[in-house]
Amino acid sequence: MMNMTEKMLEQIRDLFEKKNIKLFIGFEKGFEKFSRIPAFAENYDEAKSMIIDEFETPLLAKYLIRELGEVGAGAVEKSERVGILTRGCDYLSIRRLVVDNIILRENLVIIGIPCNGLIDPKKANKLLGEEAQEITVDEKIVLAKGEIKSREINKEEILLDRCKKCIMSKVEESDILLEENMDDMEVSKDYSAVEEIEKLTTEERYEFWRRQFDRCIRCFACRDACTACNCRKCIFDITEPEMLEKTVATSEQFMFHFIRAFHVAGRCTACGECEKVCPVDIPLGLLNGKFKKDIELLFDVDEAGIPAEIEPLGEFKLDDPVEW
Amino acid sequence: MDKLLRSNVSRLLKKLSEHAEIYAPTMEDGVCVLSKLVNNYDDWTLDYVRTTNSVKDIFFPQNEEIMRYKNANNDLNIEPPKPFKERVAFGVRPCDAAAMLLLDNVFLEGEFYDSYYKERREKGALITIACEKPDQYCFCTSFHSSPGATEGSDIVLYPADDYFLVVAVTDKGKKLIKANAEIFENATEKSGIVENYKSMKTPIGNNCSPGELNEKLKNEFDNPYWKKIARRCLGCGNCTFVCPTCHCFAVCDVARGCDGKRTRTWDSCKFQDFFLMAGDHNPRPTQVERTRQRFMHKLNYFKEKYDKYQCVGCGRCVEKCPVGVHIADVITHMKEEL
Ligand code: SF4
Ligand code: SF4
Ligand code: SF4
Ligand code: SF4
Repeated sequence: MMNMTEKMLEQIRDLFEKKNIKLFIGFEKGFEKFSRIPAFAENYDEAKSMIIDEFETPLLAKYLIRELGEVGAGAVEKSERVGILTRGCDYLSIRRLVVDNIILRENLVIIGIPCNGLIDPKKANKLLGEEAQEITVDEKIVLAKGEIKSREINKEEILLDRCKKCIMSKVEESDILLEENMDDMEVSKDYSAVEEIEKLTTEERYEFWRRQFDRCIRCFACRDACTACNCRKCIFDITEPEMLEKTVATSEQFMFHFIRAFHVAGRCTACGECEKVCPVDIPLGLLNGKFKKDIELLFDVDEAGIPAEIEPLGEFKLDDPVEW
Repeated sequence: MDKLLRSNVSRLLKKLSEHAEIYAPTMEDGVCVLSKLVNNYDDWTLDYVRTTNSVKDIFFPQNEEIMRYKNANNDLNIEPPKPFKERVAFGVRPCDAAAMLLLDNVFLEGEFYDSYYKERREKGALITIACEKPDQYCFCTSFHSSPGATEGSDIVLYPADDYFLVVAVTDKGKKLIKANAEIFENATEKSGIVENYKSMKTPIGNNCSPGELNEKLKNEFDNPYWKKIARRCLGCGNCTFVCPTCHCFAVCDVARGCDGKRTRTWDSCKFQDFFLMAGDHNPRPTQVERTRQRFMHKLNYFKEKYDKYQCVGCGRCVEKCPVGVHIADVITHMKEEL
């Protein structure tokens, strides 16, 4: 039986042979043993190093803006398409770009793969107490081997943070599905961390966020990794007038973080990428989660942020109960 | 040789705080940052491989006010910043201490020096702690350094059971120990502890040592490899902000009318507007040119100018890059290819 990587490669070869795509975006091995990094192939040969497995990967959708979007033009039809390897989370992000009119679905060839959660190798190392040299996954059991110890670990325990909160493990509109979608992962809506913050007094809450925001180095990685952050020119990059002082004072930090959170409110797909890429571990998911929770409550929707033609914060009603 | 009991560290920091600002690794919501201690001299931790921010923050902070100005009725009044306080950075890693020497090259060498940096450096001391357990991102040994190296430090502490062996490297370090002699003890043990740290290998080892790579890179301005790795790069610049050797900055005014302050803030070659000029021309229009700039600066231009590579192998950029752009990868690839 062919494994998933082989199946993918076969499809990619086919796509290039039929001249269906000009580029394929997937993953390959990085420098470290378990790092999986984005890879770009313009022909089948370049794609040969691509791989599918269960280790942590970044999301790929954001690259589509650069590869397919036209700055300032809105989505336009392209003569050549781009193929992309897609899990559920990536699929939501792709849909975000399509719904926001950044790219056209027709310009894409989506190779969908089922997913029941990715492994965070750092967590495995921590549990093992040393750097794992070998990690093998058998359904729900992970075997991690180091130089000294080896240990069986429940996959649950070392799931990537974002996978624990996954709201979409299926790819609904793939052009090619490598394997049947599995049943949805079991995820119960968990706002407990958000609720913990809600319980704090205003002063305590301020103190908590001040501490987090003061750590921020304003690299904007959170923005750069986010597919909901798809503005033509980000307000934080505008220098005339300067919306955000370059100085990293507390007031400016609050300004930046509030605006970032407001700008993705209702459009954030809860992919968790912003929190993952933050070099100083600011819990951005808590802020995004608060918005998500409130929108679900106030607008009576199941899952805020799922990209759709009409979204709670993107719809105008003449009989809106609240005035503008 | 002296030794310092671990249980005496807080006492030392408290004593030093009488005339200096103290910076030490502390845990903040699960993140280890090098931060200023104020009345909490017990809060230092040993539970880190590298601090999230590097020691450059203390001598070349992310933003600083370089002057204030006021222009009332054409009477211009310029106010320089207040003199800086003495400062002691405790718990620095050897790679970070070595990185300070590279920043010294940039900011202190030659005809013009950076007065703000110079003053902080002159008033600063580095107390380094040798690394007990380098992790998979560390590769200081590729840059002729080691988990026990002393370059750039004033004092190096070598962890042993419940104490540190103390090695004073500079006169400043010696004076500091002398002034606080009551906190240190005589070490009688003649073990090979210090030598062990110095000969320790990091997991990546010295396989990524660039050797003479700078010479070869001279002709590689148009190497397609830059395009390949740049395609992945998000342009977030966090690799440069966390790097102890990156030193680019911007100067900007924050003013209301004719009153204002002039500040200096970090900037990054990875940002799309870093090189934007008047007239809207950008000589590094895409991530390809920016990525090449970052690596060429570190592995070629800097070496040409100062005869050192601009990397100490601290592993921060490698750990923090969201998409696995890896300087050791670049070095090994280029060594193989060229
Ligand atoms: S805000 Fe964060 S969680 Fe939401 S879509 Fe953007 S990157 Fe993903
Ligand atoms: S990624 Fe983190 S450090 Fe960078 S701007 Fe966002 S919150 Fe700040
Ligand atoms: S380039 Fe990377 S590894 Fe080298 S000193 Fe800078 S952050 Fe550390
Ligand atoms: S951290 Fe990585 S993605 Fe971000 S600018 Fe640096 S190389 Fe690019």
